[in-house]
Amino acid sequence: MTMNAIETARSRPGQTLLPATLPWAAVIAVLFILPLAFPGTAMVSTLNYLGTMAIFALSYNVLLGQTGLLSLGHATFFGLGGFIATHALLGMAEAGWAFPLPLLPLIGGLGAFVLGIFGGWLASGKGGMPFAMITLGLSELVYAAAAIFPSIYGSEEGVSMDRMELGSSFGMDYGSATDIYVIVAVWFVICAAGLKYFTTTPLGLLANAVRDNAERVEFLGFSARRVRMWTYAIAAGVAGIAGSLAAINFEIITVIELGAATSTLVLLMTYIGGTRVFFGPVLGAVVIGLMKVWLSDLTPAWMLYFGLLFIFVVMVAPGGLAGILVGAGAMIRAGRLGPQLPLLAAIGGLGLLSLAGVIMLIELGYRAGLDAALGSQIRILGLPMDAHGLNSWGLAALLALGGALSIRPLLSRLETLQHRLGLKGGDPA
Amino acid sequence: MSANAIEIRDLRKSFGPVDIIRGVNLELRAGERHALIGPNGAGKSTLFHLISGRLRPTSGKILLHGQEIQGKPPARIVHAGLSRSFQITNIFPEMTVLENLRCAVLWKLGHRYSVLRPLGRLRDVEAECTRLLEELRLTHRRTSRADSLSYPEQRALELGLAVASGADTLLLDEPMAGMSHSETAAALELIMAVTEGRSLLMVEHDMGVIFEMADRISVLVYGEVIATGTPEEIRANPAVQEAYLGTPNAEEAA
Ligand SMILES: Nc1ncnc2c1ncn2[C@@H]1O[C@H](COP(=O)(O)OP(=O)(O)O)[C@@H](O)[C@H]1O
Ligand SMILES: [Mg+2]
Repeated sequence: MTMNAIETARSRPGQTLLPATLPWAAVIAVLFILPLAFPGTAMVSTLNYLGTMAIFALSYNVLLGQTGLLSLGHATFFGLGGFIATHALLGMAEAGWAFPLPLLPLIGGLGAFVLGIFGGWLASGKGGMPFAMITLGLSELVYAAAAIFPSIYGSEEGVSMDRMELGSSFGMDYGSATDIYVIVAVWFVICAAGLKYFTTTPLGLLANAVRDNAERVEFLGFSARRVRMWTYAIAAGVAGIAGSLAAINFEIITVIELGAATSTLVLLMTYIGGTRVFFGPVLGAVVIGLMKVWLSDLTPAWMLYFGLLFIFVVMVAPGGLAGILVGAGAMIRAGRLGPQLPLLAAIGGLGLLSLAGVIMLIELGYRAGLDAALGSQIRILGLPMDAHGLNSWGLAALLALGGALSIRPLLSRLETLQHRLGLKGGDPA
Repeated sequence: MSANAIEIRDLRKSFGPVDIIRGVNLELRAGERHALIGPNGAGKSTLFHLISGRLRPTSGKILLHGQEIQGKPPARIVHAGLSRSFQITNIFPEMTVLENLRCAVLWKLGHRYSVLRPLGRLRDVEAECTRLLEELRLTHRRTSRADSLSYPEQRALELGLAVASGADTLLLDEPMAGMSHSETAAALELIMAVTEGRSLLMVEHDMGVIFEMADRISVLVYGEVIATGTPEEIRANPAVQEAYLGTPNAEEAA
């Protein structure tokens, strides 16, 4: 009885208030610092893009991580939210209404939420494969419909808008990227806090229950279909907010935003970031978003790297990047990371060498094949190389293979060490 | 209102050409503890699946408090006042014990699919879960993941999910299967406590347990109820002795 009382006391909301608000204080601090640390229109625009994708990925994780649903068409609601917001802005500007631009995502989000109820009702009869297939079908349907209604979706070039047309509000005229950053940052906090809150509600818990064991939920009096439908609609609504922000940021929205490529992108971001840690998808959105923005400037092969990262996470770290961080954090707190550090450093170093080799192989391959017209001379990772030269290919292959092969014995030693530390076969925490 | 919690009339179920339930008639009286026994493969679990809505009957009627429930979805049957546990543990493995129980009490407390308040603020949910944890002797495990529990603890949670829903009629499918002697004794005590004042239909093999707890016993053999009666009547029934109890090692064979 006394034990019990102590435990209940410990779990009182008041007691946990401090640790619970700490990450949020950190989030807000980071959001304040970011535009100061990375000034300039291009940088801030990139931040706006990352924030948008972070919201999008968080919304996707309501389905993937929280409810265990693999949607293959989540971009439908991102895109539709963007189109709804864009047309709302164009319509209101023409009618001369004074609607504050920062509230525009509310319209896109609500529209996507309503459409999400409808889509969820169609897709939610079953989980698993049928759900994935129906969401894929629905998104293809919407994508195909875009061709039929050029007045709504624009043709190839999409629908553009001028975000300043709604006029100034909140002391901003929305001409600069920094103004948009404020909007994105505030919406990021609202969406993240809202979705975090959602995980603590009865419906949020039932979503987990449906993920774990959908059949049992029915024997507790609930309809798994209803749970799926509402989580689907909530995910759709938040995706619509993200899509509206994307439209505001780029001042244009195209059908690509609601197509399969965008659906795949958010799936990869969420999975790579980690589905079982709340902020995991944000991490994924930032990493993948940066890869997309920077890597696509540096190399035509960026999609390939992206695929490699995905395969790496699927095979080596199914908990995603956030899973790795959380695991490492738990080890540090338990004081069990220290003994592993030398081995981990060696593995990391060899891994980097191997990665360098793989990068060289890929870049040489591109230069020898698709981009042959650019000539065979190329700088890769600072080294002058030749796509037709045996030496270049030899060095690349040596690094890639040599690194990979020499890692293997180290990995088994790491495993033995982790066994000894009692980290394997049990929870590291 | 009927005096019977459950009435089953000429219930049949076939899987393709195979008849598994072949005209079952059974009554569970309100407030009684009723044991369902029968050899392996007799169709006891299938009968439970039919009553609880996991399977649709091929024909026949199932009345819960006089209302027809055959063929209805499981959730509707829960709302009508019947809940069940499973022979093969059927819990939420990646959620904590507390979260498992929260899910189970949400419907009866009327919170349903709500997003209006966080669970931590729902006093009634917390109070009910605390009470259940205490009753199930799982208080020290409240924040453990369900899949990290020992087997008897998982069986206790399985039972907890069934009783937490507040239904007045319970179906328990071999709640003590696979437990040691002492674990069985503890589980029996628990079952007697949590089913106090409710109608209980329970599949059980341990004759000691059955004769201790059951008001009445029904014997299911090859998809038919061949006898129903008090423990004494069942013990004395020649058909039962021949079909079931008569075999020398009946208790293990069961
Ligand atoms: N879905 C199914 N399809 C075909 N046969 C089944 C199915 N479910 C159960 N059976 C068969 O029905 C019979 C009764 O099974 P069950 O009800 O589990 O028996 P008991 O619980 O009495 O041991 C068994 O022979 C089993 O193989
Ligand atoms: Mg059985």
